[in-house]
Amino acid sequence: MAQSPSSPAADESQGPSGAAPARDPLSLPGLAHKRASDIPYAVAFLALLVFPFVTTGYPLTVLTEILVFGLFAMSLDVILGYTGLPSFGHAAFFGLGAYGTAVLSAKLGISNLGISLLAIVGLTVVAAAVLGWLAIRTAGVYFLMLTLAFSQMIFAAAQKWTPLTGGSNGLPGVRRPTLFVPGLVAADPRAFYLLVLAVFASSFFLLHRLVTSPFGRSLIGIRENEVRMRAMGYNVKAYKLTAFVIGGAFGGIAGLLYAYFNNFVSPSDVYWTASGTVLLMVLIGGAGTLVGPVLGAAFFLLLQNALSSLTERWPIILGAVFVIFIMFVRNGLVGIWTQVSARRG
Amino acid sequence: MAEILRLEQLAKHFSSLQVLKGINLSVEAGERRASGRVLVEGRDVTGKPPNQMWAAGLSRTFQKNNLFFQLTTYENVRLAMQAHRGYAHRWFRSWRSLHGVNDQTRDILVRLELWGRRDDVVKNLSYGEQRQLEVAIALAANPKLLLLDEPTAGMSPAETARTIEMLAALPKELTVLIIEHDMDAVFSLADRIAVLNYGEVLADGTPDDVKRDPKVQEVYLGV
Repeated sequence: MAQSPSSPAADESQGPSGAAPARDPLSLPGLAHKRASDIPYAVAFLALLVFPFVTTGYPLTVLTEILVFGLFAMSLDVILGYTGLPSFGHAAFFGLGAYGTAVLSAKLGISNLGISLLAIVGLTVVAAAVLGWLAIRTAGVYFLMLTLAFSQMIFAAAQKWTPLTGGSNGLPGVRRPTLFVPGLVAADPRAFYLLVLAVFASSFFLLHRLVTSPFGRSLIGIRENEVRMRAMGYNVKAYKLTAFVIGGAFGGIAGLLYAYFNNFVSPSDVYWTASGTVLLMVLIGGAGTLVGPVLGAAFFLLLQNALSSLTERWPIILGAVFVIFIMFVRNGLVGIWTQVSARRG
Repeated sequence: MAEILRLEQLAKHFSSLQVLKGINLSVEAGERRASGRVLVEGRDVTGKPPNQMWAAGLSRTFQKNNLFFQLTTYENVRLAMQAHRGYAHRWFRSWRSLHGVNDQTRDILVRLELWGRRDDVVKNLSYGEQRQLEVAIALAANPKLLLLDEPTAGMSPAETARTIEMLAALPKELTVLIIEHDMDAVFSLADRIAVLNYGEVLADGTPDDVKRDPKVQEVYLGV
């Protein structure tokens, strides 16, 4: 005990309980971290809130899309980045959310946000529970293939079940949602943007609570060493399944927003390329963080928009950028930030 | 004292290799035990999955370090502690607000002289520190019986000496079963020693008895 660098007595100066360590054992490998302040989140939220009153039109449309895909990417990251399950079929839940919302609105005339939210969360929770129950029995590439196969089943249904889904033509005529009070419609782009922001911000808050909770820490432990977690008494399967269901439900909510945003859904929203796109967003932004996937979604969509206005061959350039990112930028955009601030600090 | 562990006619095969041949052994609560290497495999015969053994108050370390190498020292112990105290599934409060978990995590890290390394990622710890962390994680379950699987394996003589000192300082009410090849470690720690050779108990008794046993001297002590 004599050689211990800081005895409990010396530690009392750190705080009344002395409990929390000075730095956060952050999930990013090799990087211990100061406790993150909430101020940047508040600033970002205020900026997003003010944005539609500064400018509307195309920039607002792009920002709306970024928030929708940011939520989609965050929901995947709960499964992929935090729990370490390589899901390659996350578009299944996005598609279920989008098609469910579209069918409710275009076929049944129900565009009430409260009803759609309940229906979509219910639908995706059941779907994710069934798929998850099967998929968590496998690992690695088998998990990947199983989730891919499931999403391709949803894609096939969207493609073939023409009376319900409109088949390969997609399903048009999705109306902007009425809010919980009948008569209040988020019709114009600004109102709709604010609705998307509200859903995005509350989802971010909930997911942030989740990943900083003991449960979220357990997910990171499972990602890092599943065998050890089991030996510590953790019911690893239950944790994995819960994470998968939570990710699926938030993926469904993103799909719901997307259907309202586009007023249209098509089978390509459920195709495996959509699962690949959201996977790229997570990896580019930084897996195992919540901010990373949102940054990744922003980076992806902005780059795609910029390049496609310059050249018809934009997919080649986009592909090259992603190859460079995956190969040379460890931990994505968030990783760059933490490395720069660590060097400065 | 009450019996805390009993092995009855324990046998274990790995294919055609019989590693245990009908071992009988009983351990009293609070006793410090050490035995030959072969008993490592013996604990599996209870047939219970590790999480149930953990819940039953039986905690173990691994012969090969089995840690969360990308997480900090603190988080390694804290994960074990939150599971033991039944908070692991809480999802709507911050892990920082669990003061009991955090306080006890600190206590264990201080006791095992790892508090100064709390924010270091485990892969950057020395091998000896990682072995200590194995013990720290095992202690987080507040076990009745602690199984240490070769706690000094692969250590330098200095690290071995420090580990022996640390293990000797564990609370006396804790029963410790040590599987160890290092005879110096065994003799300085154990109240009772069982020597296993080719799956059979060669000798079982106090360190003095075992040291005087001619069969043990022949096989292990090289006399």
